[in-house]
Amino acid sequence: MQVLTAAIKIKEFDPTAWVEAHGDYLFALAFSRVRDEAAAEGIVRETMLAALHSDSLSGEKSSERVWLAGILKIKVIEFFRNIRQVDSAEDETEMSSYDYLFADETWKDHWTENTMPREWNISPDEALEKGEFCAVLEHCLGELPARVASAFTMHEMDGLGGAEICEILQISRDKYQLVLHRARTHLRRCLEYDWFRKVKV
Amino acid sequence: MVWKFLPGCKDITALVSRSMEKDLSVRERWVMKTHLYTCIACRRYLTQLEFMSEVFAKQEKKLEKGEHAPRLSSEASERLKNALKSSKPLILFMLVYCY
Repeated sequence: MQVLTAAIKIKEFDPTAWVEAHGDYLFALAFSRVRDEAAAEGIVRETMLAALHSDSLSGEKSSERVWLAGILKIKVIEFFRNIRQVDSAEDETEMSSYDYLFADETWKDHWTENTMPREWNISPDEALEKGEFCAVLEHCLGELPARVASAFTMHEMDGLGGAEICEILQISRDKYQLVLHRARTHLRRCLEYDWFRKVKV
Repeated sequence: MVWKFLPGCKDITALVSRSMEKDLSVRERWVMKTHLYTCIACRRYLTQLEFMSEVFAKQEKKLEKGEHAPRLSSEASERLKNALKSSKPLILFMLVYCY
């Protein structure tokens, strides 16, 4: 075993280095959750300030990013928790605007020949390569009421469980299921009509 | 004739959504599977929900790998740096070298 000798250096720590090293990554992470540049910037700022004032300063670069990302995800949850409920509970799970999709004349509550889902014939990887697809995806999520989008985001992007999301948004399990159903119904329709049916894949 | 009393596609899509979280009773799963057996439209619906789920998972992976879009504007970058600078005058960073 080598003999270890330690030299202690006291250095002035420059937190603005974080902006250089991790700013873009953290901003992209926040933006993927809130889809608003100003809000995302605010979340990144709060994340770095919280990290600055934290007791444990991370040393290594690679774990520094993971550490900062962990703080950012907590800030995003706080953001979602504070979204003011502008729509009523019923409005958030409103599904009647999708009834026309199932208004077949012969079969009650069935897809019509025009509205039935098409074959999408593309892999997720291929779709994500296309900037327009990503833009449409972002736009579609943005059409949902903020709390509905946040529930879907927390579930699909952060992998949070139903119990956690229900607590954060203060909704019941039943409502949570309806919220996911609404988000999926809307996203699917939006993607199909605003991208798949428009673009020759 | 029993199929006349089973739910139509509208209600089945709600079951399909819940099936993604495995949130169905035994009976509901049977009703859904029976419907999917003969309804290609709803089968495609399920495939499409799975596609969307995979898209978000893959998007996450891309972020982790460092494929960032959008990027911080230089103005935003400056704003962040200023906020950090004005927050604390000095932080002592201890580096311990072991060799």
